[in-house]
Amino acid sequence: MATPLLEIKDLQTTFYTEHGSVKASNHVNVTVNKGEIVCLVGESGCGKSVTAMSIMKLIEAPGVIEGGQILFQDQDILTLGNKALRNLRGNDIAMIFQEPMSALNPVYTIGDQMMEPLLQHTKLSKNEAYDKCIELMEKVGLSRTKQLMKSYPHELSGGMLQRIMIAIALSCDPKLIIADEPTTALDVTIQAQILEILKEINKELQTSILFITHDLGVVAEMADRVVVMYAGKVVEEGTVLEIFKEPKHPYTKGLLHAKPVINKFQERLYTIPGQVPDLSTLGDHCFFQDRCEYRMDICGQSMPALTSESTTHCVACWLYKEAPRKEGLKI
Amino acid sequence: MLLLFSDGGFTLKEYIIRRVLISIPILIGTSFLIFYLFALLPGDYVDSNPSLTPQRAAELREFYGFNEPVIKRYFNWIAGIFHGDLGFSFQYQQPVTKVINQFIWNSFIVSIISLVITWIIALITGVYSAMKQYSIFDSFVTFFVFAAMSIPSFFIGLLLIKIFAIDMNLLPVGGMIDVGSNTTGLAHYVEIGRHMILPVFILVLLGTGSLTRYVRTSMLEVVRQDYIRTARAKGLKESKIIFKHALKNALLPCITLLAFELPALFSGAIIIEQVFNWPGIGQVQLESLNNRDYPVLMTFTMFLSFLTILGNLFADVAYAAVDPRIRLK
Repeated sequence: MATPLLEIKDLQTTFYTEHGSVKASNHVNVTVNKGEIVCLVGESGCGKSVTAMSIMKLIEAPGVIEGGQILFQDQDILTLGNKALRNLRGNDIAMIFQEPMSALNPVYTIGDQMMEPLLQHTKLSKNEAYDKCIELMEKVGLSRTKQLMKSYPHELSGGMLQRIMIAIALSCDPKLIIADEPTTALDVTIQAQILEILKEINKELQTSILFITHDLGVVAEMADRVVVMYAGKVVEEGTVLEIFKEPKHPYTKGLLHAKPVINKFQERLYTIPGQVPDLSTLGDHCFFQDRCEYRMDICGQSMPALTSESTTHCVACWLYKEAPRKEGLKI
Repeated sequence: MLLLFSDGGFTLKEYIIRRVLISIPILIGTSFLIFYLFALLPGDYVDSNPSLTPQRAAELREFYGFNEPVIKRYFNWIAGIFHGDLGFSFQYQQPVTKVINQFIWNSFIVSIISLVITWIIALITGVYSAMKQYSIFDSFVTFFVFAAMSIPSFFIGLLLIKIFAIDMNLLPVGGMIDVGSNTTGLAHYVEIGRHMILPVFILVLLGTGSLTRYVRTSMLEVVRQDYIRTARAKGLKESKIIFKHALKNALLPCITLLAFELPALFSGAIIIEQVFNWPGIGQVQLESLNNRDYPVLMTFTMFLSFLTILGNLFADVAYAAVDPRIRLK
């Protein structure tokens, strides 16, 4: 099998706060192959965004990437110098953020901000960059493009701004797009359109997408593979079918159970009891044990490792430990 | 600063005209307030000379019109202003305009030079210490800022005079030119320049502190914004992120501060001018106050309120020009 495009190996990103150190990314392994859409799922504060930010080395103090490797095309991003890193950002790896309203600089025009990465990473002249921007805007479904180039961010709607952000992300033909909850701040119809655009890009250009979300509806819509995170750790990983059809980890089951099902009458939606533990006070046990309905004695004593259930499906839970344990994780 | 009547559709020109028209009633109100407050103060110029006989004093009061009712005196004064007559200084026995014109430029050159230096230093150190928050440089700047703000200006003034003028004999003790000097041309400017070094230095020292803090805070606020992260994710150079994306946003609130510098440029520095015996408008104010030379004080205060209104107008127009989110139409 060809080497994956992106391979996050044993990533540890820790935030040193006044209340102790918080392991937001706790020995995380994620792999993204070429042309694949991988969804990173989990509740707020489970380390999804931190993992994504770590890929671009966009973690800011008090956060520190303490260990692990992030191999992008066999090159460890964490060891790159500033210049090499800049050549990667916006060029090979592009990012789309959660809040389109605040992601663009209010005092510069859309055109100015769209042309920036092109002028930085390509040898295009200003005029060529301008034409390319018009072309990109049309690709993401924007009209009146010339007028938009002259507008300022506050004059556009959230959906339009997110399209602009996608256009910016696409501008240098990246191999990987990291989309950090790109539809959370938008209303549902716009969400669907944005997802459609991202899927088209993935199909047409074979661009890999690492999609971060807490919305399982979005996951079902988008993902080839799903990585479920809980409290800074990967608890389950598998293809979208495996995760939705036969979830293994009690947390994944809980998440799926908490989703409304159409045509089924429910008094109340199921909720996973309890809340996400304080990441700064965790010991050596399964982090989900205090909320888990299948809790066993061993869960409070030792942390289960991520083990393979099939070639594509793996889970970190003591419930499945009677199965022969395979070291490492190859997809 | 709220844009007055900003709900209508105006072009910039209409907006400015509107603002100028609005400032007329403000100025009239200010003039009355200033006049009335000075009229409330007990005593007048005649009282400041205790050697006058009561009879002579009464004669002088009659002559200067101090006996007339406040409202009448106010309209006399206003009528004078419309004729270009801003009053007559009792103390200098010259028209007020002449007195002010004579001294204000001495204050202005000190103010403008320290203003420029202050802003340059504050911008550089503010941005740099925001970039290196909690570094040694930042801690040093913070310490220095609070130290400079805590020491009274007259004390630093006297200390520097002792060190640089008396002990080391490098710089003049005070004044604007040497005693009995009759230099001309370039030598004259160099001489004034030498006399300006210490007062300018102290004004810069006092002004830089708070401004540095403003720039630093504003900058720290901006670099946390999402669009800075976006700029980083685009792979832009750090210098471009700071000076293009962050600084312009960080400087927006500073426009207001700059607008308030306009009256400050002309108001003189009372304490520093006293300490360095600088013949500026600050000293004139103080003397006028001592001698109850109200025409000078009133005209000068009026002039400063006019500049304040003008400064605010400039700020609003500048905001509209720099920040696309603020549109006057």
